[in-house]
Amino acid sequence: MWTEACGKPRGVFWETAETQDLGSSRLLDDGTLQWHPEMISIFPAVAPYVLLLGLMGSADGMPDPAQRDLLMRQEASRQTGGRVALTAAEQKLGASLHRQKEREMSAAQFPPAIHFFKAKPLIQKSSIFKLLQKMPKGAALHIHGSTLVGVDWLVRNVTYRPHCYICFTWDNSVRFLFSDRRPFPRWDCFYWQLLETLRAKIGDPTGFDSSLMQHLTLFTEDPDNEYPNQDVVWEKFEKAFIAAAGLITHAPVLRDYFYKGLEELHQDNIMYLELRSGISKTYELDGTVHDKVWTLKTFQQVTKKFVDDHSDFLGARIIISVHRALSVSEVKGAIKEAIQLQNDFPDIVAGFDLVGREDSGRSLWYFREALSMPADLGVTLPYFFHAGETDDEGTDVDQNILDALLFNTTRIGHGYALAHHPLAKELSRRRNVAVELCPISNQVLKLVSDLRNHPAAVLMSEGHPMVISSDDPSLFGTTGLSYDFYQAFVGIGGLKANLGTLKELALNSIRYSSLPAHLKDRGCVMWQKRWDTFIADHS
Amino acid sequence: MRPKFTNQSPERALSRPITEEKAGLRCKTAEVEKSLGQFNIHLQRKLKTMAVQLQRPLVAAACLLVMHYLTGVLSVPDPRQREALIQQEASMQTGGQVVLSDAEQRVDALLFNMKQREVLRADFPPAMHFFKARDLIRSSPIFSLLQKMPKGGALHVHDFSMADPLWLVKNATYRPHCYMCFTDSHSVRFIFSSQLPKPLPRCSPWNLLENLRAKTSNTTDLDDSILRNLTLFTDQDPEGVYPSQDVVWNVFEQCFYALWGLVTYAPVFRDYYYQGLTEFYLDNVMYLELRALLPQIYELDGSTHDSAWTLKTYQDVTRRFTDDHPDFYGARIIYTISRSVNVSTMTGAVETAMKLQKDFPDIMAGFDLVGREDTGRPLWFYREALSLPAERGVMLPFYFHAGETDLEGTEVDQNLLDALLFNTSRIGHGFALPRHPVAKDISRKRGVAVEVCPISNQVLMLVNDLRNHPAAALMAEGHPVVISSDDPAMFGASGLSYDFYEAFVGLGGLSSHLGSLKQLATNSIRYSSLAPNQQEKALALWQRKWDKFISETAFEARRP
Repeated sequence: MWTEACGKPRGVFWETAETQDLGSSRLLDDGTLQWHPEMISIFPAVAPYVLLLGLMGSADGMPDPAQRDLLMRQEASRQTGGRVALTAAEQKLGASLHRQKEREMSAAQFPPAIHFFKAKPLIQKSSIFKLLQKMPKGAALHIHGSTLVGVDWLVRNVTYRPHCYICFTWDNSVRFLFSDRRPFPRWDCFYWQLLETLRAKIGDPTGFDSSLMQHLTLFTEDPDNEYPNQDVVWEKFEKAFIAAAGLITHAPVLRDYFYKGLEELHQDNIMYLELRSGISKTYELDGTVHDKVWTLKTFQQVTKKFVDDHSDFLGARIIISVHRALSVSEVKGAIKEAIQLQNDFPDIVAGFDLVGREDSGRSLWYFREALSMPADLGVTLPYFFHAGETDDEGTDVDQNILDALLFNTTRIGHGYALAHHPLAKELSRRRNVAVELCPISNQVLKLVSDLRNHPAAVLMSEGHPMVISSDDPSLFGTTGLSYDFYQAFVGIGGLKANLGTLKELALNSIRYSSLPAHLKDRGCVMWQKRWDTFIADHS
Repeated sequence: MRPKFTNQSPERALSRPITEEKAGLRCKTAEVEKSLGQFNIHLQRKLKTMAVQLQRPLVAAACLLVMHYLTGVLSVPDPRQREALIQQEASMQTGGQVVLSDAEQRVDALLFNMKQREVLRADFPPAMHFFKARDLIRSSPIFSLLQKMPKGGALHVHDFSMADPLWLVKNATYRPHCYMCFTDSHSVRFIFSSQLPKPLPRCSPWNLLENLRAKTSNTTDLDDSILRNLTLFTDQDPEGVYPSQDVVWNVFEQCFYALWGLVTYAPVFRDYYYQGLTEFYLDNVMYLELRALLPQIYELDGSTHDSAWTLKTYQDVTRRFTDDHPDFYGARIIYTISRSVNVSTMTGAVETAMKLQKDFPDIMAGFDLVGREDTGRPLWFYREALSLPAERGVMLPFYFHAGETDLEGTEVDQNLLDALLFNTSRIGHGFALPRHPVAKDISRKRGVAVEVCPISNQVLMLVNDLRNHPAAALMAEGHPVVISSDDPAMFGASGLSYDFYEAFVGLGGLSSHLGSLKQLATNSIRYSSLAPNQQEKALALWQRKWDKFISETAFEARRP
């Protein structure tokens, strides 16, 4: 799994050096220890620290500052990137980052503590953010296909193309359709208008365009009132997905859409993408429909063209995903299809996932028959399951994390609840199943308000395998990964996270990608070159 | 006073074979199958077996874990293995290995049903600010049950926010010779005095409350406005009233200044403490460890008493209370000082603490620093003062507040590790502990319990939705924790039941059960400052109460 150029992963090897659990002890008033058998656990042991503390029990009273330093360093070394050795130039940049972070933490408004929609202008002004934008961040491993490109482009470019019809639904949403004649009324909206004509009639095109954007994104000035709870925000979320569909699935648009998506990532200094996509069928002006194979081929061609145009871009792959609201037989069908497509497009199809809100969707275990099919058929279909994107601790859905691991998931999407599942956490760590952390998504979808309380703070401090991603950039008003990197680095990581953390997170995104070993190697070499330039430019 | 870390292995200390524990790394398929078979029998017996025997499935699951790691690809997950892993994870949580009796299982089923209903509510109380959630909690059947439940000891409560502020208004301020003045910052100050007291800076001239009330047509309004100055609790939107940590901490401190003159008046001091004990007792708490500043207490003529007198008074009132309520175990005092003092003041306080510890070994439990950590000095700043007891070979247990912060990586954030280096007996709050893996491991290994005060952390704006409280992770892995209420009077709470509700329903989610509650209650005695023989006595007393609670609740549960 691990390759030369990407270096050794952390977390696996050092644990083997640890000794058996010592059990729990309790200091009694007389200074002796009493063992509490009921607290025995299978946790990684900390005998070294206990011994250290034992040594410190000398009579002079004060804890030895050198020992204290050692423990502090030990703790720092356990965090993500805690063991990355930094060059002199990197250390210089790291020191400057630390100072900037101190300033940002002591400011009146601390961006990670407030809702991203309000924090965005503050983040844009932050010098740390500007640096993160320039930093080569590696790969984006958790982004959904229909939210890849900013709504700005969708509205200002796509909806201005000829033959674009719009229809306002009864539930205050919109549908788009490209057609060479007026489309038929549908059950949810009766009257299609040609956008060109509508725009000509409307006096305030800017206002109209921004109202269209509102339909395609969650971004708003007053998120707390507009989205009072998870149900409301998820409803808007699903609506925005549907609204964008008519634009994106128009065959000529899809081609440009993919290209534009890669361009936005590339501009944010990302070199590789794994896109979760339902690979929907696409349509032409005359109503001709192309099948999924066409979509995959288009993705393949566009990616190839993009890589040809940008030699420092590594490529893109697709994780075929279906909604978790489907029935078992539908998921079976989807898996069969995914196996076929993976067989036909091995370089493009990375694997399979289930998407949609976990709390209201079906659990992985519900689909167990479908999910066992590849193993039953003796074929490999790597899974990249969303799991634990929930705060409903102890429910059926909350078992998704364990089940994802039992179904041998390659990574865990979100894993928000992982810190509440010690056994699954241990399993994920030992099997190097990385968590795809999407901080802004979790905040906007109301799992957590102050990102300092994001449970991944615990994972990060323990050096749990993880990557940073942006989930649905267009819905959250982000581009690329820099905003999420900012939240992870400044909010979740706190003052402790350093340049080593950033380096590790970037490298992780290649290590934990679905790429075969030789491409990982190439990716890491490419990344290292860009990283060295970045360091040289900024130290 | 430092722990003697013996080389004795825990396996030897436990009365079970070593081999099974060691087998975890060298298991074979057959052993796994065997263990799984045994585990299924255990499941059928529905946890009637002893906790020690339950270690066997733990080994099985540990084997599974390693096997997964080694074999890599596993085709279809075996539902039995899955079940075993789920059980294994459940057994890791706080109380996960507590064995429940038949009656307890009935109560547990009842609780689980209640919790399922509660979780489905659109307005889920732990996700809301406590000030808004309080009425909902009061109407929750889980809360009613928790109120009746014997909760053991309250180990983290501060001296002047333990009793209902309404008692202060209705009782203390109605006593004769009570003067009040209004400060520039719209707060109030009180003093009891036989003659007109000297005016305070930045405060209006003193008014005798008796006269003020006689002149006021509506004394209810006056009393309400006094009450508002003595607590953070408000009917208004708490997020609007307290927009930031700085604001809420500032008001918090103002409240203390306001009630200071009332509670440090000797007659009120005694009665306030007695009232506080009564409130905890009525909430089915049987023991208290009170963090107390031991301030100068004054009499009507202006004369004052020293800290020894104050400690002695705590002892006397506690005795009186236990005489009146024989099923209350007692109370001990943790002497505290503000973390904003200079080093020499701190040194003096530690010296006082050592002397008090020697003179009042029964009532005095130890020493702590109080006040907001983020703006106060870190423990390491006081390292010399805090080393005095060890240097002199004197016993002074520490019960440090540490990690009541979300400023990760700052100097203050090192308090957790330093508290442990100074051999703290417990950690107050430990909000930041899960972010400090080394400190967390040390705390776990040494059985240094975390005093989790969920409502306090929410009101003081460390966390919004209590499901995100970091202690949820601690509870999931069975870290030693106790639940406490910190400053119930300030937060509009009382006793421990509100905090137990938040911990049980919010932090614990659907996974925590009656075993968790039982463990939390017994933890509060095991991790108390009581000597082992006293702990046994207290546990026996608790067990009698618990059995009564279970049989009554199980009986109630049977009724339609």
